Amino acid sequence: MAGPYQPLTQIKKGCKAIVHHFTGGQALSNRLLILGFTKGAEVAVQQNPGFGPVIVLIRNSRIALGRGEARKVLVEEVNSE
Amino acid sequence: MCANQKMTIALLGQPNVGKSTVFNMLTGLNQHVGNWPGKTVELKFGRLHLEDADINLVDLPGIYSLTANSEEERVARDFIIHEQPDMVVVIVNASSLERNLYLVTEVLALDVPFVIGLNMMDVAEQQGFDIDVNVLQAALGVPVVPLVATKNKGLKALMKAALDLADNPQQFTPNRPKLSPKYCCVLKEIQALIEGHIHLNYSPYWVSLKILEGDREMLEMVQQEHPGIWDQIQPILLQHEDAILDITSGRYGWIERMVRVGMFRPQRGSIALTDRIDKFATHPFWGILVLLTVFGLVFFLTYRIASPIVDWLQVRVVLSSANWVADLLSDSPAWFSGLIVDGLIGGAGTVMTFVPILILFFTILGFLEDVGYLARAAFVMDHLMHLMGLHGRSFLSMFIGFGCNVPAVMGTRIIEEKHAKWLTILLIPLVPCTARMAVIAFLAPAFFDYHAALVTWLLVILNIAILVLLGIATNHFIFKGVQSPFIMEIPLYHLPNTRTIGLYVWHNTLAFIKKAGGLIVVFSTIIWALSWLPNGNIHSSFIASFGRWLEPFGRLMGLTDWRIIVALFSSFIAKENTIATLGVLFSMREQSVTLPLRIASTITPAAALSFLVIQMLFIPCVATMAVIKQETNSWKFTLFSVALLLFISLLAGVCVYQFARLFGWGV
Repeated sequence: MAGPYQPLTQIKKGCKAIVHHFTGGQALSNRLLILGFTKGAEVAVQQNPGFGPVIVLIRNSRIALGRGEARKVLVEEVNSE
Repeated sequence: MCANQKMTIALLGQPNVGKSTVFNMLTGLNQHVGNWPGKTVELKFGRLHLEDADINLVDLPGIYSLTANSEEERVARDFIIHEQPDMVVVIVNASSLERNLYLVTEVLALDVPFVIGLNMMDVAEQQGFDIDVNVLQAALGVPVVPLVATKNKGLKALMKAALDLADNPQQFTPNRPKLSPKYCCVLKEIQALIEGHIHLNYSPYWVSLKILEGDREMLEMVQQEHPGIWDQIQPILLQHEDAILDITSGRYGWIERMVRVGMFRPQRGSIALTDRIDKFATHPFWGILVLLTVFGLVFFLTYRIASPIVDWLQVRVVLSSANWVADLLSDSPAWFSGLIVDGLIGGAGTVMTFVPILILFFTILGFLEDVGYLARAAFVMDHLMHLMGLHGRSFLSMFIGFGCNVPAVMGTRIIEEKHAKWLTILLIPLVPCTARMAVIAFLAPAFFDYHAALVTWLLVILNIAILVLLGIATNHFIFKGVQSPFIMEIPLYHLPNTRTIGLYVWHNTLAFIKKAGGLIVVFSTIIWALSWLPNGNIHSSFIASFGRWLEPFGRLMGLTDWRIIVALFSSFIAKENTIATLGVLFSMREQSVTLPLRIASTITPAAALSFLVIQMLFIPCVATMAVIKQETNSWKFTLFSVALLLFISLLAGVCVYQFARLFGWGV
């Protein structure tokens, strides 16, 4: 089984995760970095119905990512207390 | 400060920070739009007078960073670097402070003095953020002025701070994020290589930093202008391909430290109103219902409000002025009165009839955008649009096309990527507008009796099917399946601002009348001339000869009567003109109630079907064509889209006709 990192698409609504790295091309990762998806940044999943785009709260902004894009963001889930 | 000092101040900011509100509040109606030559990105210029200063305010495009990923970013940074405004003002959204400060770090790297306008303080307070402006200002080393632009609070102070700093640039002593030591040497290497070889306006430090970040424009600049230096830089870059990761992380690390000092965060747990509404608005299922309802309302309001006004205008203003002028000119040569009444007033009349529709559409669109709903609508439709390589914003524009293609094309301004915008503009004429539907509704019952509704429904489906196929094909073959990543910020909902919406409607309507209006009048006159020359009789005019010349081709589609062909081409002026032209050409002063039946008796059902298909898919009306040119700034593209639609419509006509004949409808 892969390490503790999973694609953002697997994090359920209401859960939080920490950004670790990206797969895929530079075009996407550059845009994500500029929007604050740096290593260690916390994202809170607002919406993830299992298909279609994902909405996350990051640095107090709501950002929607297409499913393909969200799949390329590898994160580590944070267990809430 | 000397009297009547002239200053140029540039407004910079990320999207959704209220920059437009700041600009509008400060400049009111004293604004105009300008393009960078050869580019489609718009800059807004405005003027205001404050104490002794005459300020030229420039509203730069809303951008997240100063990297050359998009035309907007290039235009904004080119303005700052090459036009060298006296002062830059960066508008920052207080309720999204961290991410907004990223743009501030980019401006810090440019080494130009600037002040920060910390806007939406009220929203931040509502969310529970407590920002100590003085502490933030001290930490950043940059003047920070709190604002609530929607309530006109703090704007004067902001401009004064900008003027003060412009007069005393030596007082600008900002704090800057430090580059990781890992890269210091690498940066010095690159800087040494390019020193002395770049344009004077560029700071060598900034260019080197951008090169290290992998900025496309800077890389291309070195590659093309100094290939020798490029050969030396390339290996350095290959060794540090991930520099951008560290550089952005470094910037955000610095931002986090700044924010920790100056801002107190609320306890988590309270759900914002925005999230509560979005439970439905962005829901995969409910979201679509909400969207359909909203757009249903748009059309409902249009028919209820705009249509009566359009009708009133056509009768009371256009028609009566046409008659009045015709009377005035009854003594002048027939060609002159014909030119004025039918050509010019007919042409100008077309423009007038669009204006109420446009005003209404822009008002509703402006309202939805200001309130924040459009972002949700784009989000909801994104999945479907992806099939065509487009994004949700394209759907919004196309949907407006059901009402009228003209505001739909103008609405493509909300689409960021150029190829997506152009593809959307290419596809919009395939969306059946109400004018086209009006022609179908007028003729179908006579042609197809109780099948009329079914035929109409199928025609609309055909249009949409062709639209989707063309979209997928174009995206696949021409844009090589280029997909820009779907990343979208979803802003908070907020109360609409009347002034913002009003200015939006004013500016866009005026732009249409000015640019498109002129073209429409010109083309209407030309068409009129063709229907008049050479001897004042429409049945022996150039356009009639043109129609007759096309008859052999028309036979393929079952259109053997030159009058039908001419009527089709007259829809170029306005789709409804088909009916008007048919009325003129088939007339013996009969009521139009019997017109469809009279026409129906002259063509076979197969031909009738073919005619309706072609009418639905035919080239865009001259108003649409005019705004296509206006939005793309390219005659080549405009003429290409006209030619493409001509080809598609005629091909479809031929196919439908031949196919229908197989079923024995050709008798």
